[in-house]
Amino acid sequence: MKWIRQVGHVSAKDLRYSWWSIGALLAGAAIAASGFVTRGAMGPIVSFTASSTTETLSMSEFTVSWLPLVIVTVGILALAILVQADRPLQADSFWTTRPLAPTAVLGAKLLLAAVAITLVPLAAGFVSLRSLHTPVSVAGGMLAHAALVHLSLLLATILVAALTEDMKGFVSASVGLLAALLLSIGLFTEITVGDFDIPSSVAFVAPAVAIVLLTFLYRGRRCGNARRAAGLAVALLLMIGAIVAPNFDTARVPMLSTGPRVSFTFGTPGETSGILPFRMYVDDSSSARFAFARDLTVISDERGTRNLTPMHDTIVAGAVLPDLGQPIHWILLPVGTRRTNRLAISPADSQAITRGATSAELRGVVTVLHPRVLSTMPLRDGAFAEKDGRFVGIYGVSHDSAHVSVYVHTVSAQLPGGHLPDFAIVNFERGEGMLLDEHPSSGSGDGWVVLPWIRVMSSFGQFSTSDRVSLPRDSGWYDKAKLVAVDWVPAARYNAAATMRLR
Amino acid sequence: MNAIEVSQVSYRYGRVTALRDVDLAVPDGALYALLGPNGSGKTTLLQILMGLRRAVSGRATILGVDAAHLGARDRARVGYVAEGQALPGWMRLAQLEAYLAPLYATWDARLADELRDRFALDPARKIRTLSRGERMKAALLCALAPRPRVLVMDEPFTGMDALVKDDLVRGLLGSSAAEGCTILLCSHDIGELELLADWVGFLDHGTVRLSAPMERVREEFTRVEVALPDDLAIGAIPPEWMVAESAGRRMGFVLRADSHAAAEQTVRARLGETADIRLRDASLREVFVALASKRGVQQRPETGAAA
Repeated sequence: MKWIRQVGHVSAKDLRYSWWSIGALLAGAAIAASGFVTRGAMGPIVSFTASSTTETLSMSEFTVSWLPLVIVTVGILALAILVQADRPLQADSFWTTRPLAPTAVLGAKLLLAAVAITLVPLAAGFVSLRSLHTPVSVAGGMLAHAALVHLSLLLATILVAALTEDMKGFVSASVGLLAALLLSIGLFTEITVGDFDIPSSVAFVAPAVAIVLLTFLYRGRRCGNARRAAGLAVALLLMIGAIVAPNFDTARVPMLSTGPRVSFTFGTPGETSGILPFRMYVDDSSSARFAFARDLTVISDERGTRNLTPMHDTIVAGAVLPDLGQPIHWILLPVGTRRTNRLAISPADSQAITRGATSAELRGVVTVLHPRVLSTMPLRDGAFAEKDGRFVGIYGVSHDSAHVSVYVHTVSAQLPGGHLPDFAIVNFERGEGMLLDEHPSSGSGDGWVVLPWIRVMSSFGQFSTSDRVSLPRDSGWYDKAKLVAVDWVPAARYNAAATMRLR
Repeated sequence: MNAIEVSQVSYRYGRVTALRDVDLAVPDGALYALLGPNGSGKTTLLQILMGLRRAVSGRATILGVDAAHLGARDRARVGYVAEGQALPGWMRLAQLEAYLAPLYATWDARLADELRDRFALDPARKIRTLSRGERMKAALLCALAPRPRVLVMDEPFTGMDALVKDDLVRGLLGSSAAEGCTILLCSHDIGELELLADWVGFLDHGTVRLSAPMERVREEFTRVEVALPDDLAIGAIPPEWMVAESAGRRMGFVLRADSHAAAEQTVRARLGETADIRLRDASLREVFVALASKRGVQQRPETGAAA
């Protein structure tokens, strides 16, 4: 029998053996995908906590939290059982004395891991992402990331299952590996103090090393302490690779050598508590926004300079009003545009500042954001729109002469670093509009699309106006108004640094 | 030509030496019974032959191929049955046969049917529901149905009832050997093997003590029964009288000599002409016990070893 037929022959046997778990995985993926296609999973799901009558809105916990975990767990266990059924390192293993090429047996396991356990949930993920109108290129990038993470974990599963005697040993070794992973990360962080990132190339190198080692183990049919140690080390490397796997963000934001100047003004002179109130200004008059991602804060005092503990946060400044393609008279601006930023400082560092820091230099990366209308929908309960991987729906509207509130539910399948859109109520016929502020009671949460490596974020937000300006009194104004969701799209990045005087 | 050759093979489990410079040859078409007490290294040697373990030193070949490098094509010509071999318990016997058949170009479906009937195995039953003996029968069926050139069996009769064992030994192994299949067999069922085996090897503490054709073993090992006259005192029993036992004036032992005549001559030289001496071929069991006992292994160097 030729090698490729052997792979098929063993795969067919493995499928017969694991039909229940593969079936469960298929069913789970189908249920998860249908939750997004029918929007049933996206909510709002209303729940009440046992201790109070507070109402909580969320996505379906079952679909976006439990089901992805179940799908991964079932896949890992099914693969471990299959590998242990044809264990390479057992002297009296059934297959080892049969006319089967060791690499064909390994190939069958890899095929099953790639097709049944990875491709099926990825296909369900693709369907789910497309139901949110996620562009194919973006969905492809997200799925490529998920595939790399998932396959890395499955390769680690094959290694650990091959090196252990039974499922009890597999579970014990897996728990040990997780503990070792946490310990390694802790030690790594302690040693490098965040100055060195594990290169994402580990995510590609580790699977290649794992496949070479597995081939060696299957061909050798033997196990010793050295092989076991090597296998577990590579399994650990695979798990690290899964953590640092690149995101394959297809919409790469170009890095510029320079950009509009950024400056900071200390908000309340003399106040030097745990947070630093300040305002950020950008020397730019276009319709762009600027998101300053702080990497480093250096404070100066009479003794010299000192780097503060990294507290990564993002500060936004710049344009408030989006360009909607026609002149709009903005009745009012949101309070948020006049808000003072606050810089988080670790407790240890806040003492240093209190003791006499004179200035703080903030260094980081500025992302230039351009406005884009994500959706325009009638201002009424139940209206919704889907675009570019986002679902925006209205689940409540209220207005009177002094106050307007729109309750907006957003679901966004996105790469890490995504953000909520801005909302405005616009009456295009009258050429009037008002930007809305997000109410503090708004809540957000995240979950997963079919697999835990595809993130989905949701928010249930109350967006409202301030009380200080007279609002349109006639209902007709609101009947013909639209809710406009404005997305801010990254267009460029550049490094920036600015110093503000504290005293 | 030898179907199996083992040359200076050594193996260690950590610091424990399991095999030490083992030499062994199994002629093509022979039914070779490899005997030895528990822990003598039989299973390890068979696993080395099947490429499941790699010898620390030396070389083992099977059908002329280095056992460490047996390919799928080579394995199609070699059957292997072992007591501890794991079978896929979730499969029904019919599924197991269907899984294995395409892997062997020589798979004989008719023989598989015959064996299933002979062993009274239900093809619809899952392997895990079979008794220990039935599982061994299933393993034997899977090993024999491809009509292998070489059959390596490690305690294949474990758990089988006497009837089936007898049937298997006399019928199947006999016919396999008659068809030119070389069989290397480890078993504690010495009585069964005695009828069939044409070669016998004895492994003890990782060393081959004996490897010779059965005929020659029968010639060399003589069972001696002696009735001593009342006036004869034997004194200390000579060390070459293996597993000597006595009851009153009668005693018996196994003696290694070139022939019965040579054995009688040796005994008479010690006991004189008045002793009543009766000689017969030692049974394989008696040879096994003789060689396995300390006294037995202290005998003179074995003839015919590593033929």
